[in-house]
Amino acid sequence: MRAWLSDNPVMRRELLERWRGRRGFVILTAYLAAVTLLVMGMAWIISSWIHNQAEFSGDGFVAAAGPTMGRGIFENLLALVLFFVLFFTPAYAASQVSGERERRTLSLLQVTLVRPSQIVAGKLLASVAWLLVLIVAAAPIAATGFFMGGVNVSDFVTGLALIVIVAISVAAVALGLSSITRKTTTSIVLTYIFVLSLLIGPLFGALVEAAFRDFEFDNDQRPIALYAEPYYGLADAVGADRFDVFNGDFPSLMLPFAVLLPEPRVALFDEAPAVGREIVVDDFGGVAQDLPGFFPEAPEPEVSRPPVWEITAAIHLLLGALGFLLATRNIQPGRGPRWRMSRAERAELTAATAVTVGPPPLEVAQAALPPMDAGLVEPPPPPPPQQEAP
Amino acid sequence: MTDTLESLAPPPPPMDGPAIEVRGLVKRYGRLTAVNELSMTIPRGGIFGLIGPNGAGKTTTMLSIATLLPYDAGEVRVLGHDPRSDPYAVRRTIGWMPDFFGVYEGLTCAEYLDFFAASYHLARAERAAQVAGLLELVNLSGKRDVDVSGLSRGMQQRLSLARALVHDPEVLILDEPASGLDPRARIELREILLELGSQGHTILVSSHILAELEELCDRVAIMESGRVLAQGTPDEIRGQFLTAGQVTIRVLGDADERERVVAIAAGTGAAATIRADGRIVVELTGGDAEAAALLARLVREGVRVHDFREERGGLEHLFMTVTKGIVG
Repeated sequence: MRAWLSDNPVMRRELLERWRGRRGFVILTAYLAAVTLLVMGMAWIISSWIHNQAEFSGDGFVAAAGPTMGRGIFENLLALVLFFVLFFTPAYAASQVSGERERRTLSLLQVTLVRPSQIVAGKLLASVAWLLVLIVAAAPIAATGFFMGGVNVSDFVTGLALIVIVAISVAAVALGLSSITRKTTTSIVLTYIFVLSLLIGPLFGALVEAAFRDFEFDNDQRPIALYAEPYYGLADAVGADRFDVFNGDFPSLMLPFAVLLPEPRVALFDEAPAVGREIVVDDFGGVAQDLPGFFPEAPEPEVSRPPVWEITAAIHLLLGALGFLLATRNIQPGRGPRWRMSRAERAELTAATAVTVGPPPLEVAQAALPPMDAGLVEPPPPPPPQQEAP
Repeated sequence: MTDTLESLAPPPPPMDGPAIEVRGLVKRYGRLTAVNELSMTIPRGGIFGLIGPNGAGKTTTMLSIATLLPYDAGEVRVLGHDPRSDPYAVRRTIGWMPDFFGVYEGLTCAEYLDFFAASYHLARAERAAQVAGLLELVNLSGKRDVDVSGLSRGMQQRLSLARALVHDPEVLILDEPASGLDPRARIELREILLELGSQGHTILVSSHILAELEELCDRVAIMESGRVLAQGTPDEIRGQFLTAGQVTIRVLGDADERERVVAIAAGTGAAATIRADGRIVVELTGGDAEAAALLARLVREGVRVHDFREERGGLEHLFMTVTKGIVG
């Protein structure tokens, strides 16, 4: 384990390369500037929303201005951080293996005693370290919700944890894709396609699934494909409220996903001991209330939240593990993109068959050439495949 | 300098037998057979040259030995280890220098070597001394803190060699180490290799430039189209392939005198021709004894010989003869 983490030369070198000079400083500054501007813009939008709502609801609404502002900034900011993570990861992680191939350093690494899994782990940790910096740098801004109200610590922690998990997963998949491509540009494109399908795919998948089920779902049941959607998981992790708009809260970027969250399961009469409690069914479901003064030993109402972000995290960890295995497999000597000669390389080889032996007698060089050509350019027909396989 | 070199001396060999043994190696890239039933034995110690034109399969052979390329058939042993079943044991004993320089931008020479030393599991405390010693060996101490991407080609090659030596391997596999170097850098590299060879390292070095290997190698293998055509010491190969020799003679005197030499040579049964520049070229078939007899005869006849040179040809000549002999 130590060889994977602290004592991993690949990770140390990646970090050194990444953070040396002004590049890290410039990117981080630009990122924080963008985040700050977006948060300021959001604060402006939310405050005008609050003023607007106050005109309808009267001055009483202004009392809830702090929590509304805090929630709004918190949810929108985390949505943006997740977007940045999904946007930045391919650019960095996708070049990690193919870049080594292009720089021709991969074989230098393969011939050392570093294990393939160590190489991939080092690269993954270096990529994730960078994403962690982006996430952690935005955390204090997201934490403004704590003093404005409307956000509790567990929303904050689970939200950031899910973003970190998605970051690790996307980075690992990017490494996997990077290990099967010859060119960095190809692996970056593939990784962006993956990220894009991660964002949009589950929505289409959910629609298809819903169609197959004739759009019949229980209250706590949702299409399985939806759980792969990072924003769906995030909406649940940060405790986004599906009824924000109707409560007068500011609708965050997560609202479209929050309204799709499964409804909390409430223990009704037939499921829970009804002794000493009363179920008040309101418009939005059921809320169990204790009858004051009676039966103080009565159990708490069992409102169980169906797991969502946990499933999203598990799906992403699985994807990440697959990416990691793919990269580990393809980083081994002789694996990865087929070591096949391109037409250009073949032509070069044909041209290069002349022996560099000073100025040889012309007839000797010519005498030596044709058989060489015959051996190299037009090899004898390969043996039948069944003979090739031992 | 001597301290440095001593610290680089490989550990005593764990067993007897050749350093590298290759039997029936076959490697195909699709329809192309790059290495075809190649066999060679590289004894322990000394410098072994692999000569052949581009595309002869030198690099493929070296990659197979260095555990970097799965081959289709055959057996390879490096100090008794099998690259297929025990690649890490092979990697521990070999230092591989490819025919290109892999650059990590933004690393200094010292950091570059330190990274590879760490990749060979050298402890942090050992690494600093090792890196300093290697930079000294390859004359790059002054470039310690210079970015590797800013090095000249010659310096890159030397740094690459230092990288291959970073874990004190017993066997060195150097693929075209001198390609693209200017004459001065080439001589510097040769000196380093001779130094390493004299310390007991086994060095396998490839080149398509024969002059490069001639001054360097104890033994050579001549490769073409994925096969070894001949191997042994240059003398052995000469003895095997060069039964005929050539003597160039220059004498004082006019054209008549030269005609007289031709006549004398003809008397011994050798064919002689006079070149336009006045040199007389005699084709010999009887080896050294015949050459000595011819010279004695000329002197006895009163010919004033001032140059009598055997044109055995170096590896270059040998190479042309060997490849022509087989494929021509």
